[in-house]
Amino acid sequence: MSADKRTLEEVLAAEAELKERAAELEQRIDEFHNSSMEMAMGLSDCFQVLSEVRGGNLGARVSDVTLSSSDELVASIGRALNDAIAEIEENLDTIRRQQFAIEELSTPILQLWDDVLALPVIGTVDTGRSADIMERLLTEVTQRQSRFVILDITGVEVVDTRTADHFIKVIKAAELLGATCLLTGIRPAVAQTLVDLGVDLSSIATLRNLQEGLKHCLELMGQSVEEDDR
Amino acid sequence: MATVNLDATGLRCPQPVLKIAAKMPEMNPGDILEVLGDCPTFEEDVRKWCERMKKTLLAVTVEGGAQKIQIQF
Repeated sequence: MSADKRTLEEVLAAEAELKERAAELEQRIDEFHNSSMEMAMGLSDCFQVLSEVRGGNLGARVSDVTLSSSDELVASIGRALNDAIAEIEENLDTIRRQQFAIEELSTPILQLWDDVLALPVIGTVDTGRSADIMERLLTEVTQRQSRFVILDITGVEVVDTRTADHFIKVIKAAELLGATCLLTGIRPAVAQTLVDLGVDLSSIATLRNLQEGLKHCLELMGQSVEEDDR
Repeated sequence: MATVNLDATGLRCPQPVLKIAAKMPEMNPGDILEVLGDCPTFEEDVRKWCERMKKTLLAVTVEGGAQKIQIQF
């Protein structure tokens, strides 16, 4: 299955899951509202008695209904607490899964041309994401036997020494598998930061943008864009 | 007869109902409690509460983005 098709299927699956989850949540909110109202009513019965005692009715008694349902009241408080905790845990789980899906979608690996893979990176790159990018890219390079990889960082607004180090490692690892790597889309502000930080990218081929990167790959393969455009 | 105000805006049900319940010992027969709330189920829940506690719901009015409910004790 191609990476693009898999990505589309992941998006559709995530969308369906979100809809289903929203419907479940609405139902849970209704259930929680009903059970919490039962609790509130039980407590109101107790306040009613306090109110009557204050008014001089020392013989005021909790109604039979409240007494008979006091066990149920305590149980319903326990259930409500358990439900609330379970709800939070489920939501956390959903958030983690969605976060994972978003991370996957934010670093798609695209086959731009025969033998040319592109990896557009968007957002920040930390150690965890860097490891994920590395693993996925190396798998794709191996499976497709790609000769070229373009790492496009147009969507990366901030690059520090650590991020640059992550990129260098990814590129070096792909090169060990026999792929030639290019870095494209370095923003002016990012370039300035890299120079200020003294980050050495001299060992990495850098080009202005993805288009230039693809042209360069085609030239290295002995093809030209004009020939293929026709 | 006194009129007591209770602001329950920003609270989700059943908190407004619990606040009303907590006010009960302070209220004397005939007193009116004016409760302001903006929870989506505010009116429905207060109606249920009044029915259960045998209190009279006098009026429901809209004030800005909230509802004001008058309850006679």
